[in-house]
Amino acid sequence: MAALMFDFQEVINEIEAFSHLANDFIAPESRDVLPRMRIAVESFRSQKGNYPIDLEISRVNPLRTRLSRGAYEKGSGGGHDIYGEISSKWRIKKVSQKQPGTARRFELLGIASTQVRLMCQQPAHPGIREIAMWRMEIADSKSPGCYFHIQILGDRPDFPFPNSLPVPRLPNLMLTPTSVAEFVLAELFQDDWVAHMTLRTVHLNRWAPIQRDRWSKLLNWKLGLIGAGGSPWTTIKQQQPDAALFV
Amino acid sequence: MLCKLLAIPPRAAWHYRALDDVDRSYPPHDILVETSQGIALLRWLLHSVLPFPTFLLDYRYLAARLSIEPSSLRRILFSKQGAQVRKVLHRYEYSGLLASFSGPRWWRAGIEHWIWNETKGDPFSKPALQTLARAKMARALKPSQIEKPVISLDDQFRPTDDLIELSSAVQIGPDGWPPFADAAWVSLDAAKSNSTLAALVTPPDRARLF
Repeated sequence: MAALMFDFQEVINEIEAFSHLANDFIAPESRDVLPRMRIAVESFRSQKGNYPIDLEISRVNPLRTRLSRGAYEKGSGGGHDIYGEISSKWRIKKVSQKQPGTARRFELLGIASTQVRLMCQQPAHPGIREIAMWRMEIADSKSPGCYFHIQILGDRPDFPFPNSLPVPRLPNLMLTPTSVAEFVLAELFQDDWVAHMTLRTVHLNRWAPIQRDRWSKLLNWKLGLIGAGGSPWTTIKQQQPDAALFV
Repeated sequence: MLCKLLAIPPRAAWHYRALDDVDRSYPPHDILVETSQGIALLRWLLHSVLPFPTFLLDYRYLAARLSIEPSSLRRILFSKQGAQVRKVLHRYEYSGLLASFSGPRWWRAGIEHWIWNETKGDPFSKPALQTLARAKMARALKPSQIEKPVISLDDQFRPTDDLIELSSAVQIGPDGWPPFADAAWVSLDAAKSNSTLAALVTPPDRARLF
């Protein structure tokens, strides 16, 4: 099975739009993270050679959200002060290019993982604690599925969810680092994010069509699979999409 | 026509990237450029492009990108050694309309292309950037100690040679600052002590003033 492809310009536009859209919800020290990511994609695209790179938001310099003071519940009714940290690694390679700077697509080379960590400030305890972690991933061709999945913890040997246990692989709909970031912001700021998304029309008008198109393609693919008979979940779990699903 | 007037190098690997950057900066349409005898383009360059960090960068924003002190780049650039620096960056220097109006500018797309090549795909590594600047441009360039440097504006909203740490900067929205330009920053301390600046701090940063 060929590797899943994405359109360079679409991903650049997606990062650019989300960078503006999310600005109010990003911690001051992280406001360079998405612009840097966009620059990395553009720079890679405009190079002559075709070699794999890791498109990365590092754990050292993650995309950090603003502090959510209980806003993960409606009416800010939550009891924790938390913020999210999003890091990501996608190993990618250009599909082809006729001349430098004109590559239209890139493909994933096995690693496509976006990690979310929720960090808690606890007045009773000094310092900051990680209170939740999960990874939203796109599988490689050898994975048992499902292809677009979420794994909980799994980066350390400790229980629960030690790194020796890759299950459960929960189904996932958020694929790119920015779409994962939107998911996180919507979770941490239940009221504010929804209100915000009704206001920022300029950037929303660029962000929404990209997401709508990708969601449609993903859901139509899944719909096609379950229409083929058999147990829907077992069918979805076993299948990998065509490399050109999103392009 | 725009490509020609802005002199985007036609065969550069970063040509399309530069074109995309220009497109995002709301340039006047070709037809308006023609019917206004080019005045629309001049107005756009003078009012919306050259004074700001857009698809063109002046020495300050170039220095910040390379993690070096802007004052050291200015000193070298406008001294005898400046010719050497200009030569290294010659391929990326803006040579279109109004190129000689207010000091040299460089194509952001070209500079990023150069940085990626020279840092072997590690374009935000501070040591790699500083090594690049000092090895290829001038040994005397002074590395910045700031982790994530941004250019600070003065109280007239003009860029200064002062770098500030991103986490201790607040974003302001001065009148006329183009939406496609990089953000405008002042230090948190400056905004706290200057009511004019404080009034311009963007909503997400306002809470940090108190």
